[in-house]
Amino acid sequence: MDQAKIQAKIDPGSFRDPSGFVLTVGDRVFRALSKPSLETLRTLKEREILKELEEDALIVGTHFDIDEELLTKLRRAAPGMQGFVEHDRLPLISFPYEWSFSMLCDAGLLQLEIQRRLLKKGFCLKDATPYNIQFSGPRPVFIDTPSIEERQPSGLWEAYGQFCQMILFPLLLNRYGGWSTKSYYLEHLNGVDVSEISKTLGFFGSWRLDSFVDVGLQSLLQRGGETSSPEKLQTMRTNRAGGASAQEFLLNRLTRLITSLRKDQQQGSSRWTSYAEESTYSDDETKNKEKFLQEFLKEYKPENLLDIGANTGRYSKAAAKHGTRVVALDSDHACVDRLYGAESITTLWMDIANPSPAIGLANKERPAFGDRVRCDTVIAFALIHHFYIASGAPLEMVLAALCALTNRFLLIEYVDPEDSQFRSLLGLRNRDLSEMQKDSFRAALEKFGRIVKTLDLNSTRTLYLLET
Amino acid sequence: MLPLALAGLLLTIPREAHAYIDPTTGGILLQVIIGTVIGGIVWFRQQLTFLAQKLLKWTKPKSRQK
Repeated sequence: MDQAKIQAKIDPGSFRDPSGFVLTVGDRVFRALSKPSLETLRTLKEREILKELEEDALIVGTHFDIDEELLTKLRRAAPGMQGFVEHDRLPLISFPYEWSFSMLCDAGLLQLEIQRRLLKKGFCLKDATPYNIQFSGPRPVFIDTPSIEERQPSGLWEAYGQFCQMILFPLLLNRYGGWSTKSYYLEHLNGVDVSEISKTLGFFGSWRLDSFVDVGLQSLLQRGGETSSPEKLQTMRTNRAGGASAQEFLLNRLTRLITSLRKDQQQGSSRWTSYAEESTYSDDETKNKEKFLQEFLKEYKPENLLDIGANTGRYSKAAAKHGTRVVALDSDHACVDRLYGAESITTLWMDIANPSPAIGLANKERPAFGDRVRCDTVIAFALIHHFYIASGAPLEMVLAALCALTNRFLLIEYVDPEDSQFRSLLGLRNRDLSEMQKDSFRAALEKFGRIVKTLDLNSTRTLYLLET
Repeated sequence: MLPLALAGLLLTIPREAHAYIDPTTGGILLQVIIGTVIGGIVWFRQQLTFLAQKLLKWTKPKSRQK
């Protein structure tokens, strides 16, 4: 497409903070900034604070030099804004309801670390939502540069309440109340008030030794403060007692709390975490499967790959070794949490039969999974029987859903209804499985593209490489 | 009593604060308490250091005289 014809588009989900918003021009990502935000960012650049954060991979790469042609486009799209910066493009946009517990902890720890560093230099984060963070491979990266502002003269961190509602509370509810972090974020776009959290956790949950300050005490003060006049509360906001030392104490305490929550989580396991060891594959079959993938990677060198049903990541890791950027997705939380941290792999916790919906204002604020993710290659090994049975959809609809996520290749493993795993998943369902017979499956697959290569693993399983 | 008195003094200095998010009443009050306690500790330590320095100055010339 002619570059000159590509127009700047405002991101419909970037509207909450009036000091800046995201625009895209083709594949490039820019941020429009208000005057104070631009000045703050320039100061951060001049004082090399931005450089330091970028070098430590805490914040997304931000560039100030934009050519005149692009600037004209950006100014036309955002006439009221004072300046523009360009950000490095991230391989994937994901949301906290797709992150595992450890990923959420790391996102929280990153915000605390940035706030701590900024505090020392006279700046602060004015908000603390996990939507300001993205995962680039196994590392969280802060993306919302206009969130940085000059530190308030008071010793208070105004974003502390939001940090609790959007990061700490879902972690505590999960750990002590058995809540799913996924449903917390999907149901409560702005988090849940501390009084509700305290009610949910009950007396003993709210006054636990590790979290009584953030839940029990904060809830008590919240209720007490509701009777105070707004003027009195406004004056409280200017309190300078303790200054930076008090805030540092608060940040260190939160860091210790989240670090200890994260440590406890690492022991997680499920029936699927030992799938690789307990599965029905023989060693030869596993090796042949990996060889099939290796040959594909060598020949086609895909830039990025989506591994659906990644389990503990055997094939994701093999692809990452080839230099492919991998997004590994699984519906089993323990599997995702275990795989998280592997080099060049971005993990996501999601059921492909029920992908993340579009949520927020006009269903545009946080787009659906299918509108955010497209890869050169999708691999769906040992997945089709799960997807077919769980979704209850006809085979062609299942294949269409998989093909919609790939720009070119689909590597798929066929599992015959006679396979023991298929039968076990089917349970007592009395479903017509004629479309899942090998010939019918192949015919259905050919409707979506050209079968480039096949490999029979055993009598009930076959690998297909499909070019869509 | 000392930290409370200090907080009371500091509360008399109003400054305007802006935020597009709700800083939450509980969150602000909690930080005011933490700030008051930490502020009190810092002030108390400063006073102790000041007193210790005074005491040192006072004892040193005397020991030289001996």
